[in-house]
Amino acid sequence: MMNVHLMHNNSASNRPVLEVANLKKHFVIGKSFFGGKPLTKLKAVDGVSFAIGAGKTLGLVGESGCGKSTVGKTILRLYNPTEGSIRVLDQEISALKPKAMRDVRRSLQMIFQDPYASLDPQMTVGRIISEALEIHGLPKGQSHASRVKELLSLVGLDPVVANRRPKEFSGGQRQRIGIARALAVEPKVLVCDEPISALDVSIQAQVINLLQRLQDELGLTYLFIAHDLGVVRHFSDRVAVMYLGGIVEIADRDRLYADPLHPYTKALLSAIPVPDPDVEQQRRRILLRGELPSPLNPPLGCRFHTRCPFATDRCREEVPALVAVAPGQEVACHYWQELRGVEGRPNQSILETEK
Amino acid sequence: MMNAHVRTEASEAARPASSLLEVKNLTTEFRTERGTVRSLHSVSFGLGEGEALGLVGESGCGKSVTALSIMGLLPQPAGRIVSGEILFNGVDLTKLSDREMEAVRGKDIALIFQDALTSLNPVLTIERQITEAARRHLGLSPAAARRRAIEFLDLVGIPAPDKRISDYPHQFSGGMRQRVMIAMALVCGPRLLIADEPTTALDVTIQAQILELLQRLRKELSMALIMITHDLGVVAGIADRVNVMYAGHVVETGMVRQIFKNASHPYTAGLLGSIPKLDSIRGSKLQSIKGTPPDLANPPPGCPFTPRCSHAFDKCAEPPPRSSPEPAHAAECWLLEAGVNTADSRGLS
Amino acid sequence: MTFVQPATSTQQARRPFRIPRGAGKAIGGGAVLLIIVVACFLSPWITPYPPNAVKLSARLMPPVFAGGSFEHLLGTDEVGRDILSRVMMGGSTSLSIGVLAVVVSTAIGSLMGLVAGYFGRFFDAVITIAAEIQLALPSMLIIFFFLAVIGPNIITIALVLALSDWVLYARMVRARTMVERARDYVAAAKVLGAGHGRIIFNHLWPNVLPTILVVSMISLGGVILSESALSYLGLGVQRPWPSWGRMVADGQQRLQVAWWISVCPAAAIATVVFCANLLGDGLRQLWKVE
Repeated sequence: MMNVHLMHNNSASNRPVLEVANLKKHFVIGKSFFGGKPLTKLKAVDGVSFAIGAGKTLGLVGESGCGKSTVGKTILRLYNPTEGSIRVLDQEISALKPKAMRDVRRSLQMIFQDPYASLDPQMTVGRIISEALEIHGLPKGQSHASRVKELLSLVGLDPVVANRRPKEFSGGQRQRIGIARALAVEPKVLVCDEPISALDVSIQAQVINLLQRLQDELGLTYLFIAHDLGVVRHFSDRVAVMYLGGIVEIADRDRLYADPLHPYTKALLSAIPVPDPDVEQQRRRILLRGELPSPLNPPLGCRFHTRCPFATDRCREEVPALVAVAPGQEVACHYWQELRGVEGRPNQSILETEK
Repeated sequence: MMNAHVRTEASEAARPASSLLEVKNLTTEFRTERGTVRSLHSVSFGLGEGEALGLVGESGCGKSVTALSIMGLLPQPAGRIVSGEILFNGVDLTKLSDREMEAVRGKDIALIFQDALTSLNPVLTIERQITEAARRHLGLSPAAARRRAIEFLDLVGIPAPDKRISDYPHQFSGGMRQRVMIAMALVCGPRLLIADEPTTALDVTIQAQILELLQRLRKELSMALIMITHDLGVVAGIADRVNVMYAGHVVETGMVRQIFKNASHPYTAGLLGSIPKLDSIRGSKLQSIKGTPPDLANPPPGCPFTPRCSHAFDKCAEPPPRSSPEPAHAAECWLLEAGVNTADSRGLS
Repeated sequence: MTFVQPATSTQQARRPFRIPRGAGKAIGGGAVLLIIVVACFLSPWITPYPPNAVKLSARLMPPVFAGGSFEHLLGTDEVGRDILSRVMMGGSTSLSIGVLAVVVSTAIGSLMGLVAGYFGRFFDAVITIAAEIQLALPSMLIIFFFLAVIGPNIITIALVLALSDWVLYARMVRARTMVERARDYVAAAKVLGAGHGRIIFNHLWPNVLPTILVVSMISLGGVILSESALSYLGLGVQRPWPSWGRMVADGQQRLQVAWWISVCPAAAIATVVFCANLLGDGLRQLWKVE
């Protein structure tokens, strides 16, 4: 299994298929039609950069409100980026007009979180899938009906379901329909926005296996957005951890899970419940104090300092940059070296000199 | 009764029959637009003083209905208990009048829900909401009830409880609201706390805080806990014993290590296989369970898991007996009866 | 908490058939309405007597259940015209006006609502302000004004009534559209590259249609009442063409001696309004429209 996968990786080219640089999305809250003063800026995404190579998967994790879904939706231009660049297959798409963007959408598709809301309840499954074909004038020399059947079989559904409506299907089956719709235009990059978090555990595994099979068969590149670190670990080549609109750490998956450097990554990893009573009842958790600050009024300096057990005055004033600390690992923390290998409660002596 | 505050050691396999809670052959039905749905099929389990029981399963498996049946809170008039007994301290709760049940609810048995925001009354201060139960059940004076409420808010880790007590629910964040709910549930000193997916709506770092809190409170107040969740990781951390539920049946029950290390029912094994392991190889396939849970209005005959089970054979069309591979561990599966160990054949599916 | 799993097809087949909530109301109301509509619109061919045929020998005959004869089921008026024939004929006028008004106001209102709800911002502000102005003006006065200037005929009356009703639809459709617009299937269509037109007409419109139909059924009753009121005041359909409101007005001088001249068309109005409301309410339950 391992070998097959490595071969696949080697055959892929090194140029990134999806590249995001300094992406920002700020929402203006409470602006009135008559052009009153904009009241507040919600910095949902504030300077995010990453790149994904062909056939690879980048996991984007973080808690609710960290901006990970906004990153996905901005890449797909469901939101217009405030600043920054988005390159898909070497084409800059952050400022494309709708018409030019339509062609890009053939290479860039999305899978949504809620399979109950993401399928038009009034359409049959066949129409839902063939709409994609209609829009792009596909396929060449093949009828819509036969292509729809092909796509349904590809995602593991019986092709006879094409004339049923979404309400007749369970959550897992609907998610398969959503995947078939996205694949209809033969995309290269799929943004998966929490594709399994609305599903039951046994169904989640089915969908993960399906996405993995499709990646192997079609050479898809995934941006996999999720809050479940266990699933992300299973699924990704690289993992980026987001906190309050910014990436705090990005690394190859084994590195990140074996040697997390950012205190937030450490806390997040220690907080996942592990389905093993021996591990679970022994381990010590790093309990973060407090909750996520409001993105309307993010803390100055390091965004994480209000909850960080190791925060110093420097953290309250100076924003840490995302710096490469090892091959394939970048972290945004002033003290990643001092904190290396430190778990749990802060050891005051480490940072004594700073105070 | 006398031993109310003596904690039963969790590791004790054999348990005296007269425990804190004894559910016997509980069968619950719902009338729906699509006909009568049997949500619980003769569910039986016991719970000792101070013990933590995990109820796990996927949506629709009957874990929440079990909680509502115990609490006498089945939605009326759709839901009703068809047969069975719920013995709490030897008293059958199904036979109590609404009035008598009200005295038990909140005082001896408390319930916390997944969604703290809708469970708290938005127009009343949390002081009103917490002290109400304390005054009714414990007969405290307003001042004493307030003192007790502040004490419990402090216990669940609300900073500056004497100030926050006059706030309204919307002034608290999600995690803090869940703490307020817990304080409200505990203020009368219940012997049993039922937590229905208490952390599902919360982020992992907040979930970790709440789980830690529940674990601490359970020890400090020596109360029994029923933890209802779909998250096997949560159960692994908090439960002494686990009931795995599927389509209204308790398909497997056992001590937490027995369930996780030696799963006997193919459903339990499949559920564990569905979760990515820490040491899994990127690109490896998860042991998923095929198909979807059955329609409860129209369940398959015999074992409800048959249509999805990779080990199913002719016998499975009949209801499987409960067999016990080891003390304190039991599962409803024909394979066990036939002496096949599911855990060994897990890889075959 | 879900207790019931979504059904799969094989299991659905074995389930006993159950009448869904609201079906009884919808079918009952719809059936009676259909019978009345068919009877009224076929009135040129099936009325027992020509509606304007004067027969002085049979003046002021009571309906059959009040001691009259089977010759004139609902009796006759002061010049011996058959009431049943006139009610059927009048119904075709009243119902035409009602249906036309509802169709026009639905079309204008839903288009405005879809545009306002989908695009938001500028369009929304303009349409909302227009709707508010419309609501602020006394609608009866506007109707009187138009009818006085243009003169009453069926089309004018229908258009004038539609003019005062479009706001109702526009607001309803706007609210629904804003809910639907935020749902992921709209985002999915955008991701696929669908343009505004496709999203509005292929996705949003079918999803707000149930709401529109329910509201239009309920407002059909209202429009027919308004038409009757106008005719009663003499601003509606002109003599000798019967309309229900006209007939009620004409009969009222003789209410003491021949109540049936007014009561029969009034009962017809009441029945149609009631059935339309019943149908609307039934559809609302059936389609689970809020």
